[in-house]
Amino acid sequence: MVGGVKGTVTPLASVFPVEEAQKAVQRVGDTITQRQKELDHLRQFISDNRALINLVQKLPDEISHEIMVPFGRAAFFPGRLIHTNELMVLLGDGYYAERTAKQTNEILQRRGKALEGQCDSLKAMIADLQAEVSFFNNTAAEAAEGLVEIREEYAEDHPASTIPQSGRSPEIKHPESSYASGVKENEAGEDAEYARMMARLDVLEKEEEATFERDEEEDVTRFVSSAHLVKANTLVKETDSGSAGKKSSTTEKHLPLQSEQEVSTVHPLTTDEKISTVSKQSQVIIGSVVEHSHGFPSDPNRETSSSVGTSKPSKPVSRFKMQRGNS
Amino acid sequence: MAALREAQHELETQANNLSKLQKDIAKNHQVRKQYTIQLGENELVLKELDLLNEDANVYKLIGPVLVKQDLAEANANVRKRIEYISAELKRLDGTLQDLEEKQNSKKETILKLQQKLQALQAGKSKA
Repeated sequence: MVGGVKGTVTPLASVFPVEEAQKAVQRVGDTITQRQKELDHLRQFISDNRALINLVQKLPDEISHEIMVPFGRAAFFPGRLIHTNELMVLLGDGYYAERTAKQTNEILQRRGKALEGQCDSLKAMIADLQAEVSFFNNTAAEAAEGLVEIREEYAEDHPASTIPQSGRSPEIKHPESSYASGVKENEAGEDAEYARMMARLDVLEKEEEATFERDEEEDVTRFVSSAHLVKANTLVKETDSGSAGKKSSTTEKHLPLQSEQEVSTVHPLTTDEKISTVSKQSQVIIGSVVEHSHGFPSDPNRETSSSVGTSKPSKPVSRFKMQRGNS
Repeated sequence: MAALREAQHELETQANNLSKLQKDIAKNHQVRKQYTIQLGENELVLKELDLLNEDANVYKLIGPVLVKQDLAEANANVRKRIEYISAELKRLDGTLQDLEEKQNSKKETILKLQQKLQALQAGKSKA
């Protein structure tokens, strides 16, 4: 071969002989046809199953069916099919079960599903094999062009030049080598592309994981806040019943207060973020509560009950009473 | 000259052995496939049996006759059969691995023999 300064040049065909690649294509093609046959077989089963399901569905529509009973190989005689809702179903491996048409239908449906699953897996297998065939075909084609197509291998004692060498044809003086280097370049390009693809996949995977974790976190906070809302709502209802005839505006004012009380119990569960927002909220509410308490100094009983209890009518109610008294 | 003939003879016997091994492996694959199919079938049966009511009539086809069987009995039988088939599959896997190892070592010895033969022939042609 080429006695290049930096290395040797070997034709691709010597690494992957054309006949060998073609043989491989042939072999994989054979397996594909085999699998295709199996797939056809399965499809046959599926259509048979479908026909059987239809038949089984129709059978119990009548008490009896007029049919031609096969007698021997060539003879038929008229007969009647009775007990149309009793079927002996083969479960497989010699086991039979007595079933009604409806139950049989269920069994057949399940069987159809199993068959479809097999069909799908077989399809996936065929797709795999076809990818293999195309790969082998490519290799064979490349090897067939091997009269000119050359694969370069560089001496190991120039490790520093192993990477950049692929693109540098000037180092090789042989006329064929320009083509060879082109091929090598191509290969290197594919390698780089592959690396890029893998890197991209890694990034995507990480992103996916990250979003998944975030989702989980969000779920937790959402759960907490919704629980908190529900509690506040129920409390509002209770207070509603406790003080009938209240104005809606007071109820609305009542809600934040109750939720503030609730918040203190929810605190240990919430995440940091949640706590911060909640505490802000509670501060605001406290302000409003203080404002309210200013409005009715004449109700010490209610005051104490609001500070202790949760469901009993509290400050806003008193305020309402106060408003009522005013009006 | 005698050495050459001997080497050729050896190569022939080794090649025969290899082809025998390959046949065995193919046979093993065939049996394995059959067992896998049976396992799938039995699992389907077990699923269906599990779904049956307890008072359902179950029959087993033995030769030309349907023999009525207890549902529990049938269930136990199928379970046992699945166990047996799984064990058999495992065993087949073991033998298959063994055979493949043997095949590989045989291939190596044949390769060596071929090289030896070539060397001998080269030596003869020189002489």
